[in-house]
Amino acid sequence: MERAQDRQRQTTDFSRRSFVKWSMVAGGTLALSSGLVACTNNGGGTGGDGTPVAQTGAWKTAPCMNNCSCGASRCLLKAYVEDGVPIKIITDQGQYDPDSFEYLQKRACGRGRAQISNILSADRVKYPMKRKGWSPESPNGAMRGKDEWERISWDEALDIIASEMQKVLDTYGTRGILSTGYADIGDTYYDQIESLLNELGGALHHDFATVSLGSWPLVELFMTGGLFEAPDYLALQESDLHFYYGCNWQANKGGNTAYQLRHAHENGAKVIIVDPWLNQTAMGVADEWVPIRPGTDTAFTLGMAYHQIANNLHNQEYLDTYCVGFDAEHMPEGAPAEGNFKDYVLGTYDNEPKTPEWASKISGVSAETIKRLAEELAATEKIAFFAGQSTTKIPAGEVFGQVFYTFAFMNGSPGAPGSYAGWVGLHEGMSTLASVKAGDSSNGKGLNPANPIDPPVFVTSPNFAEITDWDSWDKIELSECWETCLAGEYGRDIWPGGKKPLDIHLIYTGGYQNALNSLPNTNKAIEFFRSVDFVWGANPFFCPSVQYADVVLPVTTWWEKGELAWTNNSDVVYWADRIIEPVYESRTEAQIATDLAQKLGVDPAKVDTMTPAERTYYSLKDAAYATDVVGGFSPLLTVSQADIDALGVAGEPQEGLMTLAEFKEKGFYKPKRAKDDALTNIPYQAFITNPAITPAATSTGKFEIYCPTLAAVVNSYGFSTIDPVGKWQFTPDQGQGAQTDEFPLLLWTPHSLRRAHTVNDSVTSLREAFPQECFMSTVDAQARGIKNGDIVLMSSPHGKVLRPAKVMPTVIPGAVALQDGAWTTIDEATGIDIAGNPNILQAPAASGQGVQAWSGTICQVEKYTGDIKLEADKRRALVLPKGIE
Amino acid sequence: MAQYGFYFDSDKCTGCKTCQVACKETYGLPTDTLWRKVPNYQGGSWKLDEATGIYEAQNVFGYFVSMACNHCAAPACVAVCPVAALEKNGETGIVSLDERLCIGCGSCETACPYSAPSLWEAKGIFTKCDMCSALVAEGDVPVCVSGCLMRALDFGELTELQGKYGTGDVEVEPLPADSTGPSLVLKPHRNAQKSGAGTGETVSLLEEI
Repeated sequence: MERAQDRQRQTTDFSRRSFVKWSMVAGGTLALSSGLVACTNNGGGTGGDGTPVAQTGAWKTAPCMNNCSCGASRCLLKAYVEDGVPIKIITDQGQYDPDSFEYLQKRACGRGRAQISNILSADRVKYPMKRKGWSPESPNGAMRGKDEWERISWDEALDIIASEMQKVLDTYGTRGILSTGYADIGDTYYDQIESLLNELGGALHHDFATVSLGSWPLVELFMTGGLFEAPDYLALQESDLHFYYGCNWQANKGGNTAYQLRHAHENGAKVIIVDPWLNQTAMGVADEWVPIRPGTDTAFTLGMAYHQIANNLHNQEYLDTYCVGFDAEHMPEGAPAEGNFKDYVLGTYDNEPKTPEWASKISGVSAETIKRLAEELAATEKIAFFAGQSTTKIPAGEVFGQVFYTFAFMNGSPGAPGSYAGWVGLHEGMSTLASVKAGDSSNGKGLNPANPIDPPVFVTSPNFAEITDWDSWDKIELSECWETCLAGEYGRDIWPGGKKPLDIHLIYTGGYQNALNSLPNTNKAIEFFRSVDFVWGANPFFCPSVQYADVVLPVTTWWEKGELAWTNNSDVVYWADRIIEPVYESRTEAQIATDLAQKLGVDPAKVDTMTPAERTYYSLKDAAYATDVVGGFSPLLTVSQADIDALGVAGEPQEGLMTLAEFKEKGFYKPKRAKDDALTNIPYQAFITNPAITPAATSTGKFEIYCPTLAAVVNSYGFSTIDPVGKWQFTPDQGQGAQTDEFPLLLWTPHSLRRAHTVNDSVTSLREAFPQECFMSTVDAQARGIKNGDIVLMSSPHGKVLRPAKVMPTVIPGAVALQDGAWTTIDEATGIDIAGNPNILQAPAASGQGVQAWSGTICQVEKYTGDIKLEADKRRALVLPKGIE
Repeated sequence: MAQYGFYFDSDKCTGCKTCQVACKETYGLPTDTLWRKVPNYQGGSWKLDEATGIYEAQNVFGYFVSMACNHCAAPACVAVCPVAALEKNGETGIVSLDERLCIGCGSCETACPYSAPSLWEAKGIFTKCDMCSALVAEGDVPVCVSGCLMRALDFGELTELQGKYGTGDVEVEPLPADSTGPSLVLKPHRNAQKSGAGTGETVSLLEEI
């Protein structure tokens, strides 16, 4: 009986009926129409028996703001809304323009198509709630995540939060508060509660560097003088060979990126993908898969470099003309001749030649394959070298970036049509060169308060050289966040002012983050959450981070706000309609922040610096399209005085490509492309074409294979140590060579199409399509008596999770994968996470610029023999707040 | 009479399952009911090189097959249904199921070589893909086709699809030998295995398909 109820609770059918009920509670105006029932069960606006049903609703442009890949694809959703109820979703599918390669439809993946189920999920937080066992006098923190909940009023909830915040501010100052929300990573993630914290003096954040970018930014910047350089998708078609490390574009970026690579393949280009598994993109586009052990790309590539050097296959002319540091004859001024890359590879001074045989032992790729690939690359003229961001999320991950660029230089890339080297994906994905952009709706007037304790930053990480007062700043390193919060200090002794103290008493979890789940070592996160005086959360969903809070506030989703132009990828601007009214008692962050501001004696106007109409207006008036790839932009939209008057804002009329009415009706603008048009981007072409006139933006004016500045900056953080040239590093407790009898396997954690990071995990249709599984090789499974579908216990030095095994010949032996973002659900009796969050297992290893060195955590997998009965994900009950109806 | 059919290019499918999810979400299908599914077929082995300790992949491959009802020329489901709930439309060739007549016996699913009919447990009946008949009647195409990220699916009159794409081959693993005349033009994956070859297996968990 209970199971049947759980199943029903998770069906989309239930969500919709439930939604109507919610809305009636909230607004009192909606009623179940006969049209809803009919339309729910068909796609075309006709009854179940095929007879047409009158369409009384309207199509609206629904934002799909799933953060699919930190600035990559965003796709079109059109929601059919009737009587305030979203009924069905379609995408960009020919209703506006036919699909062509120059004008690609922005088709949404399953994650987008399932947004009604996501937005109306049964685990939406409905009311302000308080944990029953919490009181100001006795927080009873050990019960966080286990306690029952009680519904409270908004007034009571805000009074409790204001009072607990004030207590911590009075006693410990603002650094007694940890905010796990994003400070402000873009319009669509803007949280006014962060502005309130900034106005109060600035809370601590765990954003020392970025999670997304791995170790790449400083490597690219110092070695090449560029940053986020990638060809646009039409320029990509020029390559003869696409040599990719990782890059499961279909899951990592969604949208059109995998299709763009397939298009190149169909036009005769060869695609080789190096990855521990034959990933799903590779199944659809690759000519060859090179299986490799997680985190060993550096050694593999050095092996290819050796073979090219030993056989004089590399492009010496390119190296001599454009690079410094390859060999003793081309070292930068003042550098020791023996520090060159070639002599490292040949083993001239360390007596260890990095031969294909040497590389093979580390990477698991045979020496023959390494030699064959090295020869094939040398014989190919136009190569696109790409590496996924996670390839450098390994201990001292900068080393792979160094070797990647060096090897590309050895093969004549980048700098000419078809010859590229990059890591940020294609032009549809993140790139410095946006072809369209929306105006700034989060801070268009420039009045948002900055965080007073933010340090000056160099690209992504604190810039120690510019910090004069060591006590003026704080920014917690991500990977070690929970350990350091518990230990009461973070950083390294070699930092200019030494380690920094931590004394956190209150946690705010909101701002679109789910940090307890999303940073390494979730068991320590739980321990820390349970140790503080007070935890409050503001989230649309009952995600793990708010499950471990004391007071939780219901927040509206993007669908309940809308009325903005927005973008999050570089080749389309969308309009967002408001799709539904706020469900149940949910409120916007703006309302919560301004109400709290008043209770805390802060001027609300300093916290929420623009009216909703102003946010709409700024997003539209400053929307722009690129006229070239060097930064020329023109206004996208025509805004009339009547438009301005209708919004009730101050502004001037302007001329653009389309009127506001046209933009809102269609819902988006994307540029029509053509081969060799003004938006064509060939990175580094000016330098390669004429190095004397347009030198590289590096200290030597050339690509720096030997790059002492990079090493000095990276090493200054003290998390890891690199050399001025790229070298393989062995790490004692992680990665290849660190396996033990107890933990003989290496873990890596690819993205899943079920989620966008941790978002969407409650959607049944996506859970059904993509169960959270332990991917393992047939070889390792057989050795353990594990069959496909068996429940297995995965363990690492940091925790245990329970999952079904997916046994596949397409995974390299010795490695196992668990996809990111699953919502931790701890079985309290055993401490096992039955949902399979990889951060339960992940090594909390800080590296380089403050990068998460995730890949290659040592682990074990065994057939589970315990008592826990694991339901299939699609039938597993959602975690809902106990005690709340 | 026309015969509508699907085209599917297995060679470019990345298993994103947008087709499956768009279908489920559009029609509000409950858990376990799938009108389109995307099994993943894989094969090959690994050989240990004792000298180096390295495993070498031996003919390892993997590919996806996206499969809905094939609206067959000789639909086995129609033939076995004891209450005539299934019907092949004379105008379109679309095989549809009248939910008002179905008694939920499951004969259709058992008889279908592709297991296309799918139990809708709460209703106690079987249900299936009707090629988005309502959309098709309006000149549109099924939601799985218009949603495909890789442009691997197409829809149209079978003869036109065959003219555009060739006849294809529906006899690839994990599909069975052709016994019902499926209205499907399937372009096999470059590593496709012939039906019955037994060179691999469907690795999708039972809960997925």
